[in-house]
Amino acid sequence: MTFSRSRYDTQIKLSPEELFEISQEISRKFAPNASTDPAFPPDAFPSRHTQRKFGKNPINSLLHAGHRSCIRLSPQEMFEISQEISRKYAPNMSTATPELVLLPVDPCHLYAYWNLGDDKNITGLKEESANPLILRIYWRPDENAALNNAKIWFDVALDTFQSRQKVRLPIDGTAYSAVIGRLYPDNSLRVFADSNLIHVPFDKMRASPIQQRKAKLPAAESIPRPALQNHTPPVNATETLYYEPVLPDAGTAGDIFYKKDFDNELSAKKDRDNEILFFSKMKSLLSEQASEKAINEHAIPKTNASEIIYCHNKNASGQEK
Amino acid sequence: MEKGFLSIILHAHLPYVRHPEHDSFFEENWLFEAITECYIPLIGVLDRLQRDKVNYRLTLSLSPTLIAMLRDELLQYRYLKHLHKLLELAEKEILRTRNQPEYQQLARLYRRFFLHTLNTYHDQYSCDLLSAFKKHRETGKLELITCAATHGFLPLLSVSETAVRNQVNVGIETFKAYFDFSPAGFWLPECGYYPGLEQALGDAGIRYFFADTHSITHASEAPRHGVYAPLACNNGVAVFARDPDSSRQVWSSQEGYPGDFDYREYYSDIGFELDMDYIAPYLLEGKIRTHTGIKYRRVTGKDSAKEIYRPKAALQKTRQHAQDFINKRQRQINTLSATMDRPPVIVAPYDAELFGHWWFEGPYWLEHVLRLAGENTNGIETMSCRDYLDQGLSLQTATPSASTWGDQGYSSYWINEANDWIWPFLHKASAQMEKFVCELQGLSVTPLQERALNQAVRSILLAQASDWPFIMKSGTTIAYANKRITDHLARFNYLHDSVRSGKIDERYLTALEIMDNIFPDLDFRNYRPNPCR
Repeated sequence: MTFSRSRYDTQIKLSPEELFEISQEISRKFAPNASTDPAFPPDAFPSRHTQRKFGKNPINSLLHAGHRSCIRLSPQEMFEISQEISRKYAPNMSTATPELVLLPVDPCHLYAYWNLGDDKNITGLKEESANPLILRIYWRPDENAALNNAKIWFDVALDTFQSRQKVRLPIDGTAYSAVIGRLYPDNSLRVFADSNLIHVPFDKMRASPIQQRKAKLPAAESIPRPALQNHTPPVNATETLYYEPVLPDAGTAGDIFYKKDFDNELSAKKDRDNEILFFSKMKSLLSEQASEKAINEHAIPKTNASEIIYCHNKNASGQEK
Repeated sequence: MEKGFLSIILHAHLPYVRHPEHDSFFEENWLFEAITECYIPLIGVLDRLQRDKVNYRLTLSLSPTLIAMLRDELLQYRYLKHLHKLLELAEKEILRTRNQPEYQQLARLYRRFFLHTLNTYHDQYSCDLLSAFKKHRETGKLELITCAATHGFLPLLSVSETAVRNQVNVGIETFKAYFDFSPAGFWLPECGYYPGLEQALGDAGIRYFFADTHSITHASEAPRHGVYAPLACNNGVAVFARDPDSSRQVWSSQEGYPGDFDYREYYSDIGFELDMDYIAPYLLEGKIRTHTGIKYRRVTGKDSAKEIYRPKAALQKTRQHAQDFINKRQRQINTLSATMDRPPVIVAPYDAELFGHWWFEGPYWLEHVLRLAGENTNGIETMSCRDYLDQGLSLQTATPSASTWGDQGYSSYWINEANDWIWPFLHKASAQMEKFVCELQGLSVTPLQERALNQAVRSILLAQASDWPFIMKSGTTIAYANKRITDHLARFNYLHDSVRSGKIDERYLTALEIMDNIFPDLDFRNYRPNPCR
């Protein structure tokens, strides 16, 4: 809970350098006189009530001494140190190795942020940038199973200049993980980093989640509409669903999974077909689980639809570590 | 008449706002306003209930940041200064309104209110409000619990289990350091729960925590008693859920009591209404209009002009609303009892700062509710959740669903387009600290290095407060929230680099220790993952 307004609400924009210069100039011109307490000038607190307790200001010693230090600092000195540290050590997200982190937002959304590290082969090469950067999100109903056993995923195209994105999810009350990589024309995916596993809760707006758990599918009106102008069917369409990414545009920021080309009737029909396929596949998987069939029995080879290349497990020459 | 339990929980929390590097700092007023309008009036309620030997139970959650601020001598000193300024303004108002008897009566009321506040704060409790809560806890009427160290939003910090455990453990240790006992209950910041969190709580000795309604209604097993009996998580830690009805009656902007036309209007304040020349000495930097705490209007109505506040009518309303609240709980209990094999417990948690600050008459309403419940004529018995567990009833075991009490019920208020940028930085700092502590395990560090490492953990904790993303989303003091997070992260980066490079500047370190002087007993060695232990 917050109170009132902030002194920081101002329209004036100053760069850190300008702030520092101003701070320095003020310090030079208005340095406190060592003979007085800069924080509490003698007339600052004339009240009879507080003089009873604070007849001689006890805060002075407290204010100036550190926990286990004899060093004494004025408010001005502390302010300058604070300014300098903030300027020189401002947080930055550069990391040497690629990383991808998922965060659960609500039953229908996750949040992904990533860092591609400083490998020029990942971030810099022109020929690489022609291949779209992809977030491949795996549905992980069996949270304990290995990622290789994840049968269903969808792809979200990422803006190379961004480092975070909110993604809408098709099913609540389940688990997801993801990988980030570049998608090649032959549908192979060069993976830079894989994520943590997250669990999103059931949607509280659904009346009886306990009863619905047997089906695990959302109500019809809440079924999301995965976008795909899909063309090339997956190599093994009966086992794997593959969604071609939809490139972001102005109207779909943060939700690009749902972009749909409604102007193109043929494309829309294909979308519907894909939706049906997607959810029928999920449904059949859920039935399998309900009848307690081991998911591993039906696991598909990981290279079926798109070859996943775990580049971070390989050394420079491409050999497995 | 059926019997049931009512458990009222007040969660008192403010972010750590203390700026010794400035002669005065406006955001410190958050604490000062809360002391004047919320905490001292609440202590007044407790004192009167004790005087009148009312049989009541109330739970108060005190956040570690609030505990630290209430104990801090600099802030105590500055609060007295603030209070004297208010008294000075009230005196001026009595003069200014000498030809407006109705207004002058209110100005006199404010002067009495501020004088009483000063008397309670300074003379009665020697500037130590925690001692008042401690006193009432010792009478057996007030249950004290705490929450995460800096009110970190645990569901989004859970990328690192160490970060979560550190928030939990430092919070509990801070509480224990002052109160000399371990809290049985834990308030999850923003009621933010995710499955698995109970492990960190159980390991820290916590017996129960609170979650929002849908955490229980959507638990892994259908709750047999709905939200009117606690569930036990797999490790035995109990979870109590918020009752939506009692919550709505107080919180709702449409149906809630605080919107009654007779209550004092929060947004009408002389800081915005009087001539600048007159009011300037009491404004932010002498020129930016802000709340002073002196308000002469009542809610009146949605679209009508605000009429003058009538304290007697407002106090009368608190009695009516308290009676209404008790009547509704009674009906609720009667209905629930028909289907339950045990007395239902209605859990009613609120932000403590609602009572007095946003809802000026809230403390009086609370007092009447506790008095009515204590009369033993309505089948309602107030109790703490610890009392409930002490009955030894068997609890249904289930895993609650991830939830918060924020808008939409999940984490979206704390991660969205306004504040999403903070999470990668917070996670990175936490991971760096964790890694460093693991590397240092078994090695000896110098006293200076130890100080720097401890201070680095303080910086991380202060950056993790849920208040900063909350403010960024609510749009109130965004620049301040941005600055706090980036400052604390920069301070962490500086300290981390300093220790790693072996170049610690003691002067700089001392400055940081003075500015961020929270958690003096913290030990950086605890910032490590379980496998390291």
